[in-house]
Amino acid sequence: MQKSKVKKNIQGSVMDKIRKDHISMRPRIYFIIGSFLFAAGLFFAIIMAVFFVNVAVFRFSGHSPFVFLCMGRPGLGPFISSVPWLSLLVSVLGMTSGLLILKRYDFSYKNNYLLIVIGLVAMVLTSGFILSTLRFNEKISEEKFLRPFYRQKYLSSGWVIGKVEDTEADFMKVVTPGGKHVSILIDEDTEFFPGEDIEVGDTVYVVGEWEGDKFKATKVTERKQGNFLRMQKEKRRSKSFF
Amino acid sequence: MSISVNLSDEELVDFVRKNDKESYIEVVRRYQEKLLRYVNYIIRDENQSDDIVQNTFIKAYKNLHGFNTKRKFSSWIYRIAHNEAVNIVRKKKNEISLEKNSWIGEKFAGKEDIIGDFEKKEAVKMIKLSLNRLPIKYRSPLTLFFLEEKSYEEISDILRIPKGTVGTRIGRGKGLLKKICRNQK
Repeated sequence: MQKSKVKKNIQGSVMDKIRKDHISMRPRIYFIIGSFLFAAGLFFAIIMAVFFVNVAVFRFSGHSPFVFLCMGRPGLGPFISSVPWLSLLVSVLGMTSGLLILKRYDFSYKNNYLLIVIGLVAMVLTSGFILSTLRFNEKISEEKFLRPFYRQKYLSSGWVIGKVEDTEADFMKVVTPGGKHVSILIDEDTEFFPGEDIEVGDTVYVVGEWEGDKFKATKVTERKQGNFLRMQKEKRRSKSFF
Repeated sequence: MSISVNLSDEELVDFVRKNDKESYIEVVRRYQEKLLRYVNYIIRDENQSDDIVQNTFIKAYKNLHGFNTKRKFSSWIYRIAHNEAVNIVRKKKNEISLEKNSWIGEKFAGKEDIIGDFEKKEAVKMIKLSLNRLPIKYRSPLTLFFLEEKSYEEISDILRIPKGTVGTRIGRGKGLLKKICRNQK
């Protein structure tokens, strides 16, 4: 008896709301726009992820922060400060939001979601890598709103990256890709990695501290397979940085 | 007799959308009992179950144009009810003992003979006895499979998990139930 009373109440209450127009069906267009926005959001998130993976790879290949890691602990700070974190963060955000949107689609639970995640990440990384090898970056890095993402940092309070112009027993002169000339002081405490055979024209990564307008080196390493040509192209682009 | 009574669920939804909102009463008639039973198994609170099922019908009505009639309507409406119930469980979190829901046993007492398979019969018995001690992760698929007699495909659509996971959860849930029953003895 009680059961039928409850049943009647739900039915009556729902139909009463419908009859009195307290509730109404959302129009069809609402769902069409919703689907379109989700598809657009998914597309935009993936494009954003691919683009920023490309920016990160482009910047890594221009001046690799990993070279600093060869210097051990003193290289850790310079490494952290020269990694393109913003690009990496935006690409991770793009991938995450893409995956969250994908979860709304039926195929995300009808298939193995882990495989979908791996597939999407692999696709984004591969596309980003391929894009970074095209000349496309050199063109678009001139765009005002994209410049901050492409701006390379070649010297800071604790490190300098540059091409050797002159070298003596107690100093080196380097020029950064931004065009700044820096005198590097070398003493008996300066460590060279892997050796001291640095010549004019080599690209060096120097860790140390500023003493006035000169930079006192504590560790110096040479980038054997650096892409200095690319770094020099940066010179024109990053004038404003220095 | 209204024309809507002879229509399939999906045809009925289409009819409500295009012609007659009054026919929604038939949707409520068809699913009220089923949803109340399912929601009660999830939250184990009769009063709240009524509210949840009512909200389910209201939400379903509002979003009726969002339903794809090529899909199964029952999975869609069960999904709404499931989400509503799970939200309440998450809010409440405190467990209510099975003794307070003794009607569950009564409700299914007459249904057992329909299920021929002995194993299934055993599982139904165990579920009824130990449902309240089972995590919701296992409770939902077990209820849908053994008590609501839904297929793996339908459970997958309701819970939005792969069919393989449905099978795994049912298997593990059965294992957990056996352990619970053994401990109760």
